[in-house]
Amino acid sequence: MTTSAGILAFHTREAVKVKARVSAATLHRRSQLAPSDPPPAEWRRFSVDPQITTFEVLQNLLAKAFDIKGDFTIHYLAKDDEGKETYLGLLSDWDLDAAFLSSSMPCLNLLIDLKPFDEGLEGWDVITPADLVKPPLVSHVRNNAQQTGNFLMQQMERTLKSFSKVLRGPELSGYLNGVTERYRASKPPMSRREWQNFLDCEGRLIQPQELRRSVFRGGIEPSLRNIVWKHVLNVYPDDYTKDQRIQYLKRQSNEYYKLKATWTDMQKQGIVTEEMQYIMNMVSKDVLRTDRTHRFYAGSDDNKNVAKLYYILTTFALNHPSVSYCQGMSDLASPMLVTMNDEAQAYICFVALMQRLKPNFNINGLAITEKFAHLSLLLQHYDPEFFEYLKMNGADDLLYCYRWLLLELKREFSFDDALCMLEVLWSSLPPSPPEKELPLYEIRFGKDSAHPQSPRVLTRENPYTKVRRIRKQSSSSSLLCGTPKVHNGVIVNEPDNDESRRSSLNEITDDSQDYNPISDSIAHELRMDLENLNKTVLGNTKDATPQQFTFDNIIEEGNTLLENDGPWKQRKTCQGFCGTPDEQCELDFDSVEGETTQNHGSRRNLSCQSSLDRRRSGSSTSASTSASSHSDLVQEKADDSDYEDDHHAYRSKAPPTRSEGYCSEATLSSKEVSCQEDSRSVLDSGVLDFSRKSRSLLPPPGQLGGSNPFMMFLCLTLLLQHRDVIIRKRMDYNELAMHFDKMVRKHNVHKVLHETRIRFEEYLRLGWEASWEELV
Amino acid sequence: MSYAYLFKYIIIGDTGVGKSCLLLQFTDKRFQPVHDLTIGVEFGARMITIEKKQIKLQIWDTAGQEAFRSITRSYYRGAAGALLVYDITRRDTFNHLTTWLEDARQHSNSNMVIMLIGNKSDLEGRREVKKEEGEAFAQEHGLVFMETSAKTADNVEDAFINTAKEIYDKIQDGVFDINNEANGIKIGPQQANTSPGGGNPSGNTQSGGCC
Ligand SMILES: Nc1nc2c(ncn2[C@@H]2O[C@H](COP(=O)(O)OP(=O)(O)O)[C@@H](O)[C@H]2O)c(=O)[nH]1
Ligand SMILES: [Mg+2]
Repeated sequence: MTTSAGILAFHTREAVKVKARVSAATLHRRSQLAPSDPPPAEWRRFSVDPQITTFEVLQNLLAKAFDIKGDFTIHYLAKDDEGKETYLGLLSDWDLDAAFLSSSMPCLNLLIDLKPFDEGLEGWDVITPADLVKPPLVSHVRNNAQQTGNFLMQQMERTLKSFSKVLRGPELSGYLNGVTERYRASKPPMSRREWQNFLDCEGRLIQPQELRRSVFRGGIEPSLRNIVWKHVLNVYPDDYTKDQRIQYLKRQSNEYYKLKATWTDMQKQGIVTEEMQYIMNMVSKDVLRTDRTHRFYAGSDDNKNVAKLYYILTTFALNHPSVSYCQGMSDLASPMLVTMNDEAQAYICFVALMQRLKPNFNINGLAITEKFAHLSLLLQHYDPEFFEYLKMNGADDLLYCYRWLLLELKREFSFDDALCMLEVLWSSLPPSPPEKELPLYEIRFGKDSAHPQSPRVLTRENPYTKVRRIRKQSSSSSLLCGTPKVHNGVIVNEPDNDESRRSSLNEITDDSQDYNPISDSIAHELRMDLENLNKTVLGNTKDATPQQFTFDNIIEEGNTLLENDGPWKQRKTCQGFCGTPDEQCELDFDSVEGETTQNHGSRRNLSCQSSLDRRRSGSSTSASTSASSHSDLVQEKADDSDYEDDHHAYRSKAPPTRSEGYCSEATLSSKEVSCQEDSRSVLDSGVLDFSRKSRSLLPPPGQLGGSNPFMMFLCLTLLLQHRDVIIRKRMDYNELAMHFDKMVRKHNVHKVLHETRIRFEEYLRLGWEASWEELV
Repeated sequence: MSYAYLFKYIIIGDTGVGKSCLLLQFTDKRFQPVHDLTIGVEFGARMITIEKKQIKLQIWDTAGQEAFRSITRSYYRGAAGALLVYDITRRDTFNHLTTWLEDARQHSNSNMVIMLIGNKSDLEGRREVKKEEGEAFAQEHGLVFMETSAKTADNVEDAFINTAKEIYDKIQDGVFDINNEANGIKIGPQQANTSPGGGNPSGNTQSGGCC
């Protein structure tokens, strides 16, 4: 990776140094074909402006520089997450962007090959119609049969998708072919064997940090997800032994079935409260529209799994009156059920997830509004030019990102890819295990329970009156109060008597204040809404004791794990899913016996990732032999002194900084506040060091995206991956929003994770405490 | 593609009434019984022709989520047309129309053309709301009314195009100030320098050209 300022510098850099040479193989061939021709000079050096240099421009430059008439291909020297140098194909604007972003410090190193792709690149899956049935090739992943099977299947699916994209339009071509493999995670998904290393002899999870770091870097093998997810989702209290976990899951599962029985029994007796009616209506409509194309939920509307999803969501809603049911929850619960394949356990996982995500569904919209504001800050910071473009088109409201933020990008990837993305995202967060047992209800629902505090109960008769009341509150409060300042996405406000304001808000009913059109700019609107964040956000940041954030652990010396685990030996994987908690936990404690699972009759044929994969892999294991075909490209390593320097710089990267003790609202100095005001001029003048600048403009990890900074960086990556196409085609608001809509479930998870990890790690290295000045 | 005008539409109404299906039927001419529930807004566009003029429709399909609606008032703003949809097989969706209408009227420009749509007309056997009731509601509130089926495509085309015609007529009558983009109307790029078709009293079109 680059030096810490590198990535951040990219978007403000005006020139990138480029060094290019023609590959030895090409030279050799040339001299054979026309021995009289002198071989071209080894290196050409020039600079390009990364903001305006497109792939096409680069091609032309190189053709001129080397006087190339025919076809040629370009590769650039990059380092993968393990620091290994590799030449990667540069096929499109996307690739060029990635190259500028990750591999252009101190200069971008290019290799030209005059052979057309189809001759010389056995290791790359170039899509042609004939390829569709041929398993694509694999590189630098140490496979076991299982992995190969999964991987090939995923590759196949992706290849097909890519192919259909090619047919639809050239602008999507950046997603296809070789790209996928290149962005594979730096570490194979967590295996059963690796998982065992995190447990002590009684099955206690002794290294929760290490576990997260590993998942963050490589995800989890599908067959192991039902076990590890519960840990990453904070289902278990700390230090439970295997036996305790079994007992705990049993208790919790029983508890769930009780909660469920309460309302289903009432329903059977014909007692249906208004609240029940409302929730059951909403949920039943929505589960019929959730992931129905996935095999697990497919088929007729009386699919058993669809019904289970309905029970989970309805039980949750009735027992959590502060959020009740909101659209979007079905998308979040669905992966839990698919992965656990057990209704009660899926409920428990969903409850654990909702501990963190509840605020997003609050009808006041504050949590999401804050995320919009932060995403906007990130974009302004990392790509001011694109942000400016969006602003010109009135698209800086980022409304088309709403689904990303609400569902934590779950729908932006194919279902199976989303599972991987989600586990990486969850493990980027610090562990937050429940203190005792995870409470499965807020207020236990029962016959005589009426939940007057549930916002949905209030809105039931008239679903939108509540919204309008909140709008009234927002506009009136911004009229009533002084103007709070937004700084780093945190609201800075003069001390104020919250109590008195709150009561005065409730009295405001004058409709004329409902709508307060300041201007057409939606940015204004967001800001207005933001002003109302102040109570909530300020409250939080003031009260928050510095959390033990440990993001930096994620990026420290990740290689050790890889070594610990040794070669990724072939192992049999669990057959099918287990139905009951005990059986589940037998697996959990990965004994050898645990690997052969009891037969569960009908449960067994419920679509199970691992068994499906195994079946698939049976017919395609032969392809694993091609795993090393990448090597001829890898060998092409530059032997230039500049490069060595760069390499050195990489090795001696900045020491990881602790991330505790974030700069919170309370510690903001007036200097920093004023810095915000001149942020434009600061950016333009480039006077300040990048990291200092970055830090002053970006919210710290503990605040960014409501303490989910990685998710915000994922969103940023999606935006940046499309910025070129959007600008080039001069898309207006609607066109670019439609463009993103069309990308639903189609983003390349490996590419997105790869790019996001790079930016995220750079961001974390900015040093989020007093020590940040050391970086300057 | 070039166009004379661009109109922005929104589709509103309770969840499950078939808003997304109507949009898909109009833009892609297909019905997809199994599809995702809408989160936030989804976007669509299609070109139509009215009196030999190309008109581009930009359509925002919204979700009924209160939480989303509370974070933005903007999707009403700058809409020239709205399809207000209920489901003829579910009376509650009809009962909520007043709320939707109030909300729309409050946050949109006063000239916005609203088309009332009773969807799922193919499900005659499960009908809960009579056609006459829809007509009466439309009459009372000054809306245009139609029953549609996103499944069979019945009247779908007309619903969108008739709304556009109404808007077009309003432009001809000079009711809409087409130079104010907040009205949900833009003049096509190539039209910007010439006089817009029809007697727009405010005359001045210099600012109308966008990109
Ligand atoms: N029979 C029938 N079903 C429809 C029609 N329009 C929509 N649906 C169904 O109604 C459900 C909800 O539709 P959807 O477009 O998602 O509603 P939205 O929430 O308003 O966007 C889906 O299951 C559709 O299949 C229609 O015209 N006829
Ligand atoms: Mg919809």
